Amino acid sequence: MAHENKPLSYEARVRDTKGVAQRVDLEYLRRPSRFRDLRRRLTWMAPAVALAAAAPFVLGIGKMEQVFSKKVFSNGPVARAHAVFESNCKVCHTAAFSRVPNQACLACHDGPSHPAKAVDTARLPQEPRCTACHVEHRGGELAAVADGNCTGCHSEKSRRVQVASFRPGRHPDFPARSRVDERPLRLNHAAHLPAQPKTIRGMKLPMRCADCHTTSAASPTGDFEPVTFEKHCRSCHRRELEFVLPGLPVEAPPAPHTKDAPAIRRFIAETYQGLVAANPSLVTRPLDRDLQPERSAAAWMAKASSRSEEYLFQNKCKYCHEFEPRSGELPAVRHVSPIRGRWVDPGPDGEPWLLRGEFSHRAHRAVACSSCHTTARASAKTADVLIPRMPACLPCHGPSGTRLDQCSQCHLYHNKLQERDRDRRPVEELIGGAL
Amino acid sequence: MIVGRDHLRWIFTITAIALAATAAYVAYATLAPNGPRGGSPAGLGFAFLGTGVIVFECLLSLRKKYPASPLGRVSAWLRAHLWLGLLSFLLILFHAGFRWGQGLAALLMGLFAVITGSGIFGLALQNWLPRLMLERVARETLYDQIPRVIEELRGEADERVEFVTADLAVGGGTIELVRAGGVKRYFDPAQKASAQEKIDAVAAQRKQAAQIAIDETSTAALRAHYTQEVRPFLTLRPPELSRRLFRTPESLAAYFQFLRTILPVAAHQVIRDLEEICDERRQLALQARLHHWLHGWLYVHVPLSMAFLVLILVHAVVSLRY
Amino acid sequence: MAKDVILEAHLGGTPLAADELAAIPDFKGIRKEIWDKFPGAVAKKFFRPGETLMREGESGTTAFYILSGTVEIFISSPIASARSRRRGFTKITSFLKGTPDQSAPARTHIPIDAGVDLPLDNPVATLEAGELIGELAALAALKQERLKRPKFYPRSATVRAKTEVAALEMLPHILNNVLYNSPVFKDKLNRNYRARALDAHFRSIPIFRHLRPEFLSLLCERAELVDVQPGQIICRQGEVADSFYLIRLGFVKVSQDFPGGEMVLTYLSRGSYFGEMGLLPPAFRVRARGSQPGQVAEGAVSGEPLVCGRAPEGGRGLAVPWDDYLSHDHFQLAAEGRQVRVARLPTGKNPLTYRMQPADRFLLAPGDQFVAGNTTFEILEDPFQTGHRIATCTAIDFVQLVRIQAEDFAALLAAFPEVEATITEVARARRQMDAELLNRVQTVSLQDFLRQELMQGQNLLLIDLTRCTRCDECVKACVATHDDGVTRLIRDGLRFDRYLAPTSCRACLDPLCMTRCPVGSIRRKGTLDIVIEDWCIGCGNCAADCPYGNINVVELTAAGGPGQKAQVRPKAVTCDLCAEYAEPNCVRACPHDAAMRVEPKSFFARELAGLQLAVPAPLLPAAASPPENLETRVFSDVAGLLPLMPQLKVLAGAHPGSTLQLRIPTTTFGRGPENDYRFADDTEMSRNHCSITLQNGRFVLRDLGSTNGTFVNANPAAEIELRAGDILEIGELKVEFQAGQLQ
Repeated sequence: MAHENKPLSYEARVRDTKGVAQRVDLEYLRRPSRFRDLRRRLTWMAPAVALAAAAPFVLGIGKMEQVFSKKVFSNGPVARAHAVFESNCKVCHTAAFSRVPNQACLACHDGPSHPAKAVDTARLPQEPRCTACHVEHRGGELAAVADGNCTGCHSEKSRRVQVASFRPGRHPDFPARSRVDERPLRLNHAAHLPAQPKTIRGMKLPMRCADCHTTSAASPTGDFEPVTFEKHCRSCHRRELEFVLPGLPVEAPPAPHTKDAPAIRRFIAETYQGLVAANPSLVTRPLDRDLQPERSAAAWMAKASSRSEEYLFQNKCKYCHEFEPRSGELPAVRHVSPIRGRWVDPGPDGEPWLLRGEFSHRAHRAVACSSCHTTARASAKTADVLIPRMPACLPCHGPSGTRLDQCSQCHLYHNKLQERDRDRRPVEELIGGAL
Repeated sequence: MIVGRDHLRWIFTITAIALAATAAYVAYATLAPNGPRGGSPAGLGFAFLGTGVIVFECLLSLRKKYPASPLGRVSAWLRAHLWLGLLSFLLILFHAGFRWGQGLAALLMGLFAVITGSGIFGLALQNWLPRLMLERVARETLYDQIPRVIEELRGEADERVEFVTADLAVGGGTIELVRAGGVKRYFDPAQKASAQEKIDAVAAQRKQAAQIAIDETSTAALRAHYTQEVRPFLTLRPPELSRRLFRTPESLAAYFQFLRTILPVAAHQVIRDLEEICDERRQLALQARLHHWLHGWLYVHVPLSMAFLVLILVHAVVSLRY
Repeated sequence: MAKDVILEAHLGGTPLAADELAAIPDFKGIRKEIWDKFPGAVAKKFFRPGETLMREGESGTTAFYILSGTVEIFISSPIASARSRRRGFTKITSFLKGTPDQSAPARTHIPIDAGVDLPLDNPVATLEAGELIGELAALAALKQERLKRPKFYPRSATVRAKTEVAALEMLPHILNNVLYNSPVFKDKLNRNYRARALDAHFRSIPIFRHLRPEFLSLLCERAELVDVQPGQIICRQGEVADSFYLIRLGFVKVSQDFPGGEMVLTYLSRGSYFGEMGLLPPAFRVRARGSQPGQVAEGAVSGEPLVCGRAPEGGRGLAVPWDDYLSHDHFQLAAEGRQVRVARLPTGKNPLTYRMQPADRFLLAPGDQFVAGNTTFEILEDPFQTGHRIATCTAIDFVQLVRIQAEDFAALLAAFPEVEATITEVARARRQMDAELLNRVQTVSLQDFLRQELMQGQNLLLIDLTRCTRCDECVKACVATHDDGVTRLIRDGLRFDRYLAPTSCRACLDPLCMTRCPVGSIRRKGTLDIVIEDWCIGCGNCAADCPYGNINVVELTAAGGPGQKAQVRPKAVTCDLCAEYAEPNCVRACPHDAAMRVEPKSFFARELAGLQLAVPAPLLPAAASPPENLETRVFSDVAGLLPLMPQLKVLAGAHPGSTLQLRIPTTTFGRGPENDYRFADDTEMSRNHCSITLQNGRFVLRDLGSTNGTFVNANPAAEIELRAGDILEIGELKVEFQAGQLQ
């Protein structure tokens, strides 16, 4: 060490505080040091690089946004139905720094919102946001709404009906079960489905359900075609339209299956006229249980017609139908509204059996009918509602571990039947630019 | 920072907060109809808390810039940095709903994981390496001054060997620096020159003739060993040969033991000092290595944190924008 | 080598012969024979206006005597750090950054090596014929002559001729051997000093700043000028104080004795003063003690009467609420010189009892007691304000002093109460510091310390190397703290145990750095910290003197005023322990709790002894008596500490053969639990039997009014100084007093 007063003799090394300090540069912190400066440089460079890399995305320069933004900024994949405009954020995110507005959804989807009751009764202060239930950027189906969105309100104690989940005791049984089928028709399921096989009128019993209940190919949910006499009953129940009085040795076509009584009367009269024309001796035969033939052909004709009418109306029609109670010249069969899917048809909108739910027979086509409709074999009355009770659903939809117990599986928040068609948009607008 | 008894209070506090946050998260995750989401009010709440903590974490470097600030001691800040950092990771996980996300969000999560990981790694090193240094590097000096000290050691060794061998004919570069330790300084050029003259005179005298007289062959041997083996070791980047010779304390001791056997006793004092100098050089190499470990993790931790901060901002703007 | 520097080959100028010198009128009275003995030691020089006689910072060994003309003496303006005024936002940020507010300097004048002091704000003065310049440097050189490696004083200021100047340059011998021996010349010098400089000198002292001019001139006349030789003791600790001193030239060491050695409190240089504390009127306290335990009240007694009673009016005075035999305002106490006057007030009903006699007015000395009502009143002396010297002052140079007699000082205090208030305040601060220092040195140095001289430090920076990650935050903090950006801390040094003692000021017990400052800019402020004031001239003496390399001389840029060019000047810098801040910033900035500032002795004593143990096991009484029978709060070292301290060896009584460690300053013995050593089973011992107190380095045994008395060497003793080998009998306990190595 450079001391001016250093002696010229060998001195052993000493290590003292002052000597140790004198080896050191007093200003070493001010001098550049590779190791130290590297850190400072990195500390400035890293955020600068990050900023530089992020800037184009943030500012949306050129087409960068389209190419990268969905990958870079998107929170997750969009729902399958929206995949077409996945890279065009503006379709949904119409305004900056705000949530996705309902208008953005309504531009394509126009479903009525929750049954108006909720809004009317001021349970909800305002129309709920679409995105409150439909969570985007999770892939999958947007329609699959989590149960919580429903049970949040519907499990409230103040409600008459509380629904927490699709579990026994936590979900009410279907209201249809407590109703009575009041349609004026006598249908005996049990008679069609006897326990012992037998053949009646050429029909092998028991029948199969599908003999009468055929699914409609047009319905996405596999709703049933309405059961009609012509299609499903006539083959066996043609007899019930035959009106020729017993004892007359003639074959006559059955009466048409119609509500129009005058037409039937006309048909009977014409049929008898035809028969008599073919066989004039017919008028000499006594009718019914009469022992004497009629005095004249005209009288015979009149009596045969009226007796046949009476026979048909009183004996045959009533096999299935009921008459209007009003008295009149001709009896009138009470109207039987057909069942289309879950709707009973009489009105313009029909009356649903399942008031709130949606059921797809198509989805259940793998399951035997009797598995659910267990009471069908024993049901002898029309009044029986054969919609299964809730326990019938539980093996699959209950606490079985599958995810089939979500509210949205059965319940529709929006009534799709009321959905209106929207103005359609050019595809460029959706995908955000030319193809 | 040694994690010890003085951290108990922090540990308790942070555990309590973490438990509370977890309870809040569990409640929110089960109650929210659509599950935990970053954009829901609670998710945003976690984001704000987490970001606040992260910003505080980054303020540590600012706090270090102003040591006299009345806002608490730096060690208290570091302790807070440590524990709140762990907490913030939890909060951000809550914010993300334990989803990794995609794109920027995934990048952020990845960065944060690396930052937290490097921090924990650094903490572990800080608990272990200082003790190791205390044990193994007795002759420690300032890391930045290691090159300077090595040069100094070389000069000293030259000087000491020259007592035996006279002029070694090796250039001893004088270092121009402001020495600490109360070294007499001359601000007047004339005074400076005269002081230098005195030093030079002594050096010249020393170089002129050996002060410790030993026989010719021994002198030559010492000169050879010194210039070819010892002196190269006293440089910033010693050649492989010297490095191997002086790698461990044992090999170093063995080498000088060998020198003692071939040199007369008169020179042993010089040998002992040389040994000490070499051992100091060896320790300095070890110190440099340990220092790199002790500080290397910061080169990941700090820059990434800064980048992270920027990206958080971008993330916040973009997420709130859409 | 030293010789040739002092006796420079030739001074230049015209060497004067003896007869020429004798002919100079100023040197009248010095015989030619005397001049003959020192040929060539005086040279006459002429300087034209603007020429420089000496330059600040150069080392010089000669003195100048001005024969004619006027010279200007000045130093470069102090390096004051310029800080702009702060307001608003800056205030907030600087608060957050922790920048302290600049405080005004304590001094107004810079002492230099001439007959005048330079004002701090404009350090220029003029000197005229008949002045000596450079006395101190020359005299110091004379002292250094005997040393192997002499250290010289640099010139403290630049001297430049203002007019045509004729001056004599002379070697130091002349000053000491010729001029000071000549009563005529000395008298002339003193007269000059009195006439020109003394007034300013007085004014430069903060406590005299507000004196009226006529009083000051009276002081100037009455003050005595005293010369002291190196090593001479000016006043001794414990003496009755008789005068106040002002240093005119040289350095004075202020130290206190304590068991085991002497501790240097500070070094004082020109312009400093000492001896004022002993001159303050003694202060008394009165302590009232009722019949029930816990009934204690205390009050300070001064010249103002202190009213005492059950409930003195206005709530002031000493209230003794427990005593129903006292009136609301019963009597009053007032200091009269070294005694206290007690007088019963007309409102006081019952008479006072003094020496078993009823009395109404009497004088009491400290230690006296009297009774009023059911309460005993005792007069106590304030230990730090007794009218005695509390420290020893020694000259370490050729010292010239201005001495003010006690009566003049008393007159001064009487005339200017604000002076007294200032002094009392200063005295209080010093007292606190002294007490603090004394506390620190009472734990005894450990052997291991000696090697590294760590015991020198009073406030040592340590870095716990098991925690330190070598991040250098402490150094960065140091750089950031000081405006000049120079670190005072080098994080390198020697290790002790698992600690590193880095290179940073350790506030030595004996601050060698303060011994050779030519301008008195390095000094201790009120506390332990050593500061270097702005007017440092960068001579480097302190840096060279610091044995630990903690002071550095660096070139700093002085912030010039408006229009002035910034100048670069050398200045010494050292750690000031961050006096302006709450705690040292290196410690504050350490992120790992590794750096700390500690008092090394107590710190390491604890480290080594593990804990503040009670007495080691063999000292405890036998199993028969529970361990709390003998209690003590001694700091005990495992091995090395105990033999150093005086102790008592038990010869008979509880535990013969064991030793009792003495506490500092007082160790008490008795049956009561409040004693340091409690002997609950000893029926012959009183509740508070006796005490052993350390006083001025001696151990004094005091009987505390015990029933059976205390015996020293079989003689009953009330108060006695103990010597090694004395046999004490305290109740059944018989102990031998063994002086430790400290005695």
